[in-house]
Amino acid sequence: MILNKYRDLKGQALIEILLGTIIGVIIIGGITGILAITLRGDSETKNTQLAASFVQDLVNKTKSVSESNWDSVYGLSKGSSNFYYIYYNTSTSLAEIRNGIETVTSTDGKIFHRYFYIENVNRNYCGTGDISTSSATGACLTWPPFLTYISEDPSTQKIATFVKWDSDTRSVKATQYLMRNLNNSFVQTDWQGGAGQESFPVSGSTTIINDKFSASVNINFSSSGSITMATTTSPANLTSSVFDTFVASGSAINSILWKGLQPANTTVSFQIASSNNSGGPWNYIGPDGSGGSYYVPNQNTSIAVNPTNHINQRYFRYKIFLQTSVVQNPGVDDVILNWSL
Amino acid sequence: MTFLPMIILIGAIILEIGAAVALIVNLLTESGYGLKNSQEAFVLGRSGVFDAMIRLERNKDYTTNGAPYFLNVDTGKSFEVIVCNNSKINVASSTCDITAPGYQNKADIISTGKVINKNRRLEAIVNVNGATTEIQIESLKEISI
Repeated sequence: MILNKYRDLKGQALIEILLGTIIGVIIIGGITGILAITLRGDSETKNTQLAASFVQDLVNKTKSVSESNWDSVYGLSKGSSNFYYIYYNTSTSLAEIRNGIETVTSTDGKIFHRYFYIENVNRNYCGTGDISTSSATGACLTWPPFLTYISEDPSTQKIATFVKWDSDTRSVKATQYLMRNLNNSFVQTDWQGGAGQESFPVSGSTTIINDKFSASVNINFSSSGSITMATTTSPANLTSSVFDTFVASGSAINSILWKGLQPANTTVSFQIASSNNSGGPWNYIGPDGSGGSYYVPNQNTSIAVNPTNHINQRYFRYKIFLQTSVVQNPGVDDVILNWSL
Repeated sequence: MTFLPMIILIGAIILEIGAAVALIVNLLTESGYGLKNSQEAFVLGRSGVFDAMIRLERNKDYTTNGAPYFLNVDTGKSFEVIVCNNSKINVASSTCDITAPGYQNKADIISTGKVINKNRRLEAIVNVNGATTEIQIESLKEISI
């Protein structure tokens, strides 16, 4: 009786209890693991997003500073060992670039470190074509230049911006290229006022481009709005007055263009001189940086100025050369130089 | 015996937990680094616009005739730029549409920044002053890819 009573009782087998426990442990452990990963991941995501926003902020600030003063970026030491950050100077109300690494604290007290470094940029076509990682190939002996001539473009900088956190074990990086895009123009359309003017007059902080120039040889400037060769038997040239860009840290000259008449077998060529002193000295140079080379654009066709020449010079002037091998005479109506602040 | 169903059940639970973990990790990674990559793609796209502009400053007639040029910035990071002068870019045919109205004395620039799997595309309309060669940006906006 008693044996039969116990035999008929229904209960949990040991193996079932063990399996139930195992399943429970797996489910609870799994949920705990997911929660831990979620919380950790959520924190990491938040930090990454914060870092990305800090990077974006510094990227924009660097661009702003470069636009206000290109040389404040270009003039810095280059390479990945020279760290910089943007500091807002409350006494001058201006943002300025400082050496070192900035500490940024998020609203919840998280510490981030932020900085950028700068690298020079090379381009093919002697600094005027595609951005290239190849090394510079040396002086540009022909102009327009060949594809294979690589040289630095001082109007382009590569900026790598970093934000690091968790003892700098975690980081976010963004790369941008800054270009000297704010541009202006020098346009002279008349020379009838004659020679003898060393510098263009200024009004406030603006240079007035009038109808005068510095000197000329064999140039007929008596017609309004045009210059020609006085005689076609010998070369002619004209030296402009000095133009003040009023950019204290200097400018960059981007291109030359002339408009007028260009009969066959006639040539109009240019050299440019620049200085940080209104009194010079004035070295008239062409694309290879010497006095023996010339920019020779066709009528109404822009030609790039070698960007490695005339870097950050406040004053510039041009010298125009007119030549012909026939009786026809080139006529220049406008001389236009594009320059960047 | 109840062993086989139990093993299957335990295996299924483990797989489910694993899948959930993988999904969560992927979502979190995507939300964190996706945003970061997207922002950098935007910065690179903007760099492409500036690159096109300085080419125009050096040559007011600069154009790629609708075909893109590329720059690989770092591993997985690049931008590609199309420039049409006095015409509108036709991305689909990689040509410049000279019949499009309103593009006289303007350059149309489309730049696409790419970082890993994130792409951002910007379009800039730039005024090209034929009389002075000055290049001034008229509009810059993000457009769909």
